[in-house]
Amino acid sequence: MSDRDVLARHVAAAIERHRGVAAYLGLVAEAVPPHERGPWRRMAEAVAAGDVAAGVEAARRATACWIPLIATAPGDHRLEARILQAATRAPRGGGPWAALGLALATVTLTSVLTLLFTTVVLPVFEALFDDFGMRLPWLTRVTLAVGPAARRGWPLAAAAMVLGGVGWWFLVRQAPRRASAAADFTRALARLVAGGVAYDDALVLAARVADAPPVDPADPARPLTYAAVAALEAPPVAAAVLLDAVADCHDDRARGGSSIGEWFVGPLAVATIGLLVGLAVIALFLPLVQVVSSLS
Amino acid sequence: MRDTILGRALGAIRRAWRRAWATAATRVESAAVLRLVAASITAGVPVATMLDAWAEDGRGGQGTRLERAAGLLRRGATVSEAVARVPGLVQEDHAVALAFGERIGLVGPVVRATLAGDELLDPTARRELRAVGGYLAVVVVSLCVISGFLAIRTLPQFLKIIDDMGTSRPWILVSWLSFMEVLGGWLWVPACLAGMVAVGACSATGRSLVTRPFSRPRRVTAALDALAVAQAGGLPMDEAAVVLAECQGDPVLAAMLARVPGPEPRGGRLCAAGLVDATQGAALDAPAADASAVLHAAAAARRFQSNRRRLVLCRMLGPVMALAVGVFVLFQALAVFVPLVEIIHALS
Repeated sequence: MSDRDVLARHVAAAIERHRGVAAYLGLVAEAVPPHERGPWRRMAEAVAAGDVAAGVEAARRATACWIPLIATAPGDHRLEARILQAATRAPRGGGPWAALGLALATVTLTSVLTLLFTTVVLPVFEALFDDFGMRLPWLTRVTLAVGPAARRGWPLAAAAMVLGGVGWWFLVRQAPRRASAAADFTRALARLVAGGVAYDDALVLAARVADAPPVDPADPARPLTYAAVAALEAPPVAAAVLLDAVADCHDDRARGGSSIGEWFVGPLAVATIGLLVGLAVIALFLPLVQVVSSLS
Repeated sequence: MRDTILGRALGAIRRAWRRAWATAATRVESAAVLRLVAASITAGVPVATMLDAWAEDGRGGQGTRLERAAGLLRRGATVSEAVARVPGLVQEDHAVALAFGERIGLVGPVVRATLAGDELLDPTARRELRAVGGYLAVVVVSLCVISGFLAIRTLPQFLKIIDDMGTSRPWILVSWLSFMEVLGGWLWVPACLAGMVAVGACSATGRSLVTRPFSRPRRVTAALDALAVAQAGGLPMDEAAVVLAECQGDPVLAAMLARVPGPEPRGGRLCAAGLVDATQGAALDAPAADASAVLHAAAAARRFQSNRRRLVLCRMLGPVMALAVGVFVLFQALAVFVPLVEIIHALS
């Protein structure tokens, strides 16, 4: 049986079991932020109409929303609470653009400052020092050498900086995303196992929640972890408890990972720009001291 | 995969990597151990199985420590014994929670209460503290580099020029030199701080000794939560306080807890021990008071106060730091430029 068949079977059963919850799903769809409304609205409409094909299509696009329905037995009074929990899950980081925005802002500001400095300020000082015909301090010589190099190779430097910024963002976003995927996968697995879904089906559905390829417990690979596999060796009730704990552990990791991008870029930007400006000022100031020294 | 040559080679590389980086568990790693132990005990699954599996998923030295702890558990050690014999597996206050939970037979509830109230697991709090620390470190290091360069390379030249010209040193330069002299007398402060950081970075015991006074308010809050769980579990307060005192690694907090057992009223005793304030003590002694709820409320109140203090500190430190650095830089810039202007005037 293919993954799509597994999903279709469980969605059909969920629609049949929970037709009465359609109105509540509609309310949830109205209550969530506009950009998250679509999946909940499609689910509400499919459940209200008893339309399995529409339900499968909706579940294919957003499986996570369907987990409470699939994993809850008919008449279980916790269904509404579980739907609400799934709909109002707190974000783990500062949004997908937070890290990229800060990284790009840092790179852009540093590049613009360096470019302005090397094209506008440095030539003036270079001419001044040439007129004096003096031997410049090493720091000044290094700084002045940056000017022509930057003027010749600034497109390359700009490209490298942008690539560096994007690379940084990739590292910052991807490291926690692995933990986030493991957390989402394991949490969905816990809910499904607790709801009495067979382990094989639960693995298929949980992989869809994490947007991951099919997983094999015989050869665990993210988002399926060894801890989750060990938990699945226990009976369903115990397995659900263990999987919930494992999901909490991954959640902690994901939240910790997200915050790195949000706290590190600011100090990094201050350090980079501060050191650049400070060293440049000192480099250009030292020859003035020499001039005064030789004049006196 | 695990039985192939490549799998074994990868396993050997991973173990070598873990040994090389075996320091101590981070807060998240430590919390993970607690969660897995509590869940395993609740689910009736051997703790060693879950720790071993988590070690496979883990990174760094924590993987090695988890494997050692799992080995000890398989040989019959209790969880708290395994934690005690594998240094760095969990952080000190987490070890206290595990030991206390095990002694009173309520590992799950104690661990849940401990982790629910753990401020250091809150990503917002961590982000704020790290951002403040990051800015502070960056500003201090940049300032030291640039000021040090000016003080070592530039100022001596100025002084030589001024002295050669036979003119008097400008007042701002004299003030700056005096200021730097005074500052030089306090160099032992950053040296001590750097030493403390080095000790903390190299040794888990050293780190716990250095950070203990700062983490005590958080430990008191955790102790109140633990006592509340024990009360809810039907354990008398006196007995719980004695057990908790025995589990503590912080002697000051252990002494506070040891003062709790005694004749009624229990609220008054907790207040005298410095664990709750007078109002909370009175609430505990009120007729038909739910001691567990009152203790949880006391812990929540302490946590709220500590969060507010942290927030104020984090919000204030940025502007204060900017002001201090601005004044410092202005002073230094004037000390460098005023003599330069005076020399040029004299020459012209």
